[in-house]
Amino acid sequence: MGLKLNSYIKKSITITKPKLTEDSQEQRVLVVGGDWIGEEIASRLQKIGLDVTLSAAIATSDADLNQSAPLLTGPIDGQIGQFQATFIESDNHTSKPFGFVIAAQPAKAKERFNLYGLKQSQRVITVSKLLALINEGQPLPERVGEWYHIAFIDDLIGDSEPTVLSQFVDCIERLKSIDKLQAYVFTRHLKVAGPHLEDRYRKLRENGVIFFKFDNNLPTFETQSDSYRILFEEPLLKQDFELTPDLLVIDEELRPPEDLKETFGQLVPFEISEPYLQTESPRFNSVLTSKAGVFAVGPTRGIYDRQSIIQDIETVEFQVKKILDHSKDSRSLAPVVDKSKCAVCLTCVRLCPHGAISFSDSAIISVPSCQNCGICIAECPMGAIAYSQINQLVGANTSNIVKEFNFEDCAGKIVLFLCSRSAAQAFKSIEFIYKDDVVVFEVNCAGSLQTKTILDALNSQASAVLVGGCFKGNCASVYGNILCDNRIQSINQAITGLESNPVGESGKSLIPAGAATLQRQEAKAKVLRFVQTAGNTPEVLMRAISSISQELSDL
Amino acid sequence: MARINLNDLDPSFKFTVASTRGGEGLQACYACKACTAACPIEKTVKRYDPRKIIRMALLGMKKELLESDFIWLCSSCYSCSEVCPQDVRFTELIFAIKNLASVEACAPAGLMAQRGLLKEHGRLYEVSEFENEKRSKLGLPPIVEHPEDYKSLL
Repeated sequence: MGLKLNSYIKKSITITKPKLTEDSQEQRVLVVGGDWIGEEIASRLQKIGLDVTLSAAIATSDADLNQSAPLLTGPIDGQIGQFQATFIESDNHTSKPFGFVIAAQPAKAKERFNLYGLKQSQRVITVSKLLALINEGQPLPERVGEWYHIAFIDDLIGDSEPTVLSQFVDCIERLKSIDKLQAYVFTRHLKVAGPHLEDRYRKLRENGVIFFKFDNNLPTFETQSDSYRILFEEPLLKQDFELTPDLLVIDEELRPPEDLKETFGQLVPFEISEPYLQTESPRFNSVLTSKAGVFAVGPTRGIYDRQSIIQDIETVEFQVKKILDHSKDSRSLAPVVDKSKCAVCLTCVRLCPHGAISFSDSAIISVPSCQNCGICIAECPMGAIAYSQINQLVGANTSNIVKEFNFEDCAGKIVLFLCSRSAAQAFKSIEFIYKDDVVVFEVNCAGSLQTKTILDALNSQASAVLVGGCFKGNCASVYGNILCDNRIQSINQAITGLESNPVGESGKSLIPAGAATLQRQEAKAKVLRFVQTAGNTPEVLMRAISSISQELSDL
Repeated sequence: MARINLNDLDPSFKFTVASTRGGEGLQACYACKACTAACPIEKTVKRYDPRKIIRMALLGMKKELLESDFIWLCSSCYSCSEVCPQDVRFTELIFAIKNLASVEACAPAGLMAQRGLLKEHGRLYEVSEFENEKRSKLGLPPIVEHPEDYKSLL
């Protein structure tokens, strides 16, 4: 074959099957969030025999929530199987352990009167208010003329939110019984990507609802006695119109719940800002978060329509079952900290994308939360973390640490370090082309490649080194690909420095530890590149390899 | 043009058009402008724009539309119906609008005069002695008008 897959990095490690330890509380689930979403999850998980606690999030005065339900009083902390949460329950403060945590708070609907310069009144209301009026059977404001004119404002700023449009459609469909009703929708970029939404929208049009889609010339509002006069140029006719609606209904902006940071900030290692409890990686397009055992449902990950939320709930149920089914650890290796070397600098604690590292007198890596990306190993400035046999984790010492990479057979070949999630999969379809010219090492994540390993590869007889990682935003370990790219850039800068200036004059910061050992004439013959790819884009890898071959033949 | 108040317009007009024969496709229009692009009349007379006519009907601009002169410009070439992705059948639609206009006595004077001729003579011109003389020279039978029959037909 000519391929040499490094024997010590096992491929069986997967992120979707986090492992539970013996003392875990896997039967206990905490669902944060009070409305129908939380209740639906709770009832489904109870049906499969789990002990579910439904609670409100911190800092909410959730009126809808059952009085007897516990209220969180502090952030949730811990690891899968052993999350800790503190509550007020029937006036008592309690702290309880949980196996899983599910974030299921309702969306925050923000009124937009100020955005359009409007004031709320009897004839100017939000869409939720109108829905409430309809639900309660309350009368709408009296009609002024023969026809009852209702104007809906659906996002005059940017793209409309399909969930809000479906609320409008609900309203209009349910107001059908009113005689001589004419509805108008003022919008900008109407989005109909919701369940059955396009069909419902088309039916509305066919039943006489008028849609005005503005581009730049937006309507203005003029105060009337108890309503507003809408002045606008009809976009198709280029003709000025005015309308004084009997009822003006304003859209709301749906936002993720505001308390995500307070409640889950300790668990999810990246900064929770806009928009939700997840990073941009497509791996998180399901309910998974980068923390094993924590799931995000619906609004907490920017999903607002009922049907998609129900899909999320089903996915959570499936994921929880899956973890319980695979609760035995199948890994043979995991990173372990050498306590004698650890300086408690907290580099690993900061960088772990899975929030798996805590510390006391040294860094402590939680085995169930760890997803073997190896970023801590590569970034530890003391070299205190290494892979070890998993059954010897307790009281690990250096004798159990797995050996280094072996570059003995690399003479004249290109060394490829390939991420098992992207580049290694892409390479499988093109390996027959390159099998005599390359030596392949499959790594869990490009971020696990230490500077020292790359330098060792450069110092071997290999002709070039290529590292294949994921595309930006695609990394399952959030930023492992970026960390690796940074390392390679600084090594390349250092090599250039070595070529043009003698060591010592090229500026200290450019030369990473170990680079000085690189012989100048040797470095000159090497090419070191990082390429972003995905499992289904082998052509990117091919292009990179052929450009390296070209560069080598030019040298 | 002066500002038009939607409150003064007639929202039921679109339903009237849609329930007139030929006007059924009105509400299917999504304003893609294919009809306007295909229309040979629109090339020379810019105020005749099929898409705008549909929009005016939808907005309930009954008076503006029925009293306009441009709805009579259609040459019935069916180019718009050919290209319409929504099967609005605009040529039929404009017939429906014209029919509504003539019911409201908004048709152009020339057309109304033609209607009178048709009613009177069964043709758009009167067959006089002069024509019948010519016919007899050619060995054709004379034309006799039956105004009662035309009236009952119409």
